[in-house]
Amino acid sequence: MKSKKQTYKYKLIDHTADFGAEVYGAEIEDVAAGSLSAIAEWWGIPPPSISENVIIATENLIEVVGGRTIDTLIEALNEWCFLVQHRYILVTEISLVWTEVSLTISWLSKDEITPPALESEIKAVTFHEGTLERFEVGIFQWYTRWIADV
Amino acid sequence: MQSNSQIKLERIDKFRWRVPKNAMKGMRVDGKIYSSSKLIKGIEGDASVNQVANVATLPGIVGESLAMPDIHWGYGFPIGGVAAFDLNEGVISPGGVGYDINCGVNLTRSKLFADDIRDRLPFLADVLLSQIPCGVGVGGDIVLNAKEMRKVSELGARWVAKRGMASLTDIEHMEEGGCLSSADPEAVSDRACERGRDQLGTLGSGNHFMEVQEVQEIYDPKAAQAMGLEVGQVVFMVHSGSRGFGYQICQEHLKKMGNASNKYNIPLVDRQLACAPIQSPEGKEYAGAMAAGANFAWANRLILVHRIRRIFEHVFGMGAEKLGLGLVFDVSHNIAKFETHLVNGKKQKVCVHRKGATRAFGPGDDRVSPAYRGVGQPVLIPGDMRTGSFVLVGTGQAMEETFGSTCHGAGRVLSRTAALKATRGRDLTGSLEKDGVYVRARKLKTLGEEAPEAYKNVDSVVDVAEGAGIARKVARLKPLVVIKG
Repeated sequence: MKSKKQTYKYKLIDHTADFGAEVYGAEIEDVAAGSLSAIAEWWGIPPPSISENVIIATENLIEVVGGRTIDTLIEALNEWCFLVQHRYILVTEISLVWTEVSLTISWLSKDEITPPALESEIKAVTFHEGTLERFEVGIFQWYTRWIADV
Repeated sequence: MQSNSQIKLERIDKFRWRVPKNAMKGMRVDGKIYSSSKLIKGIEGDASVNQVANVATLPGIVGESLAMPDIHWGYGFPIGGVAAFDLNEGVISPGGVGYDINCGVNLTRSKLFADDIRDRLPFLADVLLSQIPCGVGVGGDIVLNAKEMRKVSELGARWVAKRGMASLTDIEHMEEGGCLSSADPEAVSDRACERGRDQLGTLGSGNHFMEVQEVQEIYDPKAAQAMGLEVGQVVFMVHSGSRGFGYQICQEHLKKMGNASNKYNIPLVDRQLACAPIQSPEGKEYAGAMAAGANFAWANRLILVHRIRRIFEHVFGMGAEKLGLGLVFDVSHNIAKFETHLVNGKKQKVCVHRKGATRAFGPGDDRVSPAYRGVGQPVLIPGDMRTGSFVLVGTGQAMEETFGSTCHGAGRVLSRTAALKATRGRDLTGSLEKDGVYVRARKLKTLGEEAPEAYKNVDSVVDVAEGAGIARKVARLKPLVVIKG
């Protein structure tokens, strides 16, 4: 497997009844990948690794039409939650492309998960205080923050 | 993470604080928070106060933007938020209902007494955990196709009764008879149906629970008698909602409402307050879909009651009649409904959003189930898994002040992470068992997150509701068995 070096960092943040995440990334795709890892940590499952081996195929694809905005990311994260929580797919590898018109997450899975394997349920990632920003300097130029209702 | 509010609250009396209309630009009406000197310290300066003010900026709001004593930070509306909107000038907002549409609680009484069954409680707890589908994404044995899903969302509790899992008496003991006739199943997406197709009769996870309880104290004998409650009696409580079906409806409509807010030039101070005029196509579509989600939730809770009745029959070796498992009432905590209230002395039909709040109609109101019309509508307030829960009734004062609404629970004080830290290394299950509470959970993490100290003292919350006159105490319930997802 040819893996891409991880170029994001994230931390889970508290919200009264729920949780959120702050993610820093070198590229815009990295904040999306970091967000998926943050969600995996909340679920208590291994995060997907970023790989260049993932072949884009319509059956293994999340594609959200939208620009490089927090709305696009939130919609993609909600699709991700549906894939794992409802279709019970344990994604092991992903490839991300985020252009001016869409965010595409291609994925590979080795296993299905039985529902109780997840530690916690996410009802939805919300728009509440969600943000996606770009800084002009530094290694981690992209930043996002979102809060999930659990 | 905590956003702070700079809003200065004005004390009105012992149980009421005002968020003045001039506290924030754009507020159309005052806000009002029901609280006490002790509880208000927990929210002064936090984002939930801002959220009360934010709701007051929405077009067509009638009366005041209200917050019940269990107020805490939510998305868009605060949890504990109540707001009513004029049908012609006002808006409807998914953020005023929440993701878990018609999350709510029901209570079922029995003819059993706690002292007679204490030795059976550990076994009962084990059977309940093994037989009630609960936990993250766990489906049940009822799997429906899209057509049948739409039937459930149209008929609500009546769908359950038609299949022999509930009686007409059960339905009479539910808010709205367990069905909003305004439901529009066609406004529900295939994705929502897919998410809900195997979730009917499942508890879920997080703060959802099932508890066997003992009636510990009676405060209002007349109301308790109307509900068939007496000291020492065993009852059970179910807290669940519309599961993935409702989450999906909310999620999809929030996006549509975001566009609608732009289309109708509604300025938003928080994206989660996205809304549309009630009379607009977008508003009507959400109202129809939300009602469908509410109906699904009522069906879900009623099927859970059916499952628990069967488990009681099995564990105690008695038939249904001897066990006397009658539904006391079922209330919604997250909903928007079209109701007629007195506004400035005149009857007006409004759209009341209750987000983490309970309908609390007073005695004499013909919308209250006939069995309770003389005492007021039962209000069920779950507390934490050690302290207990309350049964209240609605009041005439609530009809005058809060569009017939009151609190819905204890309200959280600790985040999930903080609760986990606070309970790390402690034998929570063992310590609860010493207090006579047998806890079973699919995930230990959930247990830590939902630890008793994560919640406000439910007595303090209920005392404010009673002190302010927006509910009246009937009975206190002590947990015996707690089942968590």
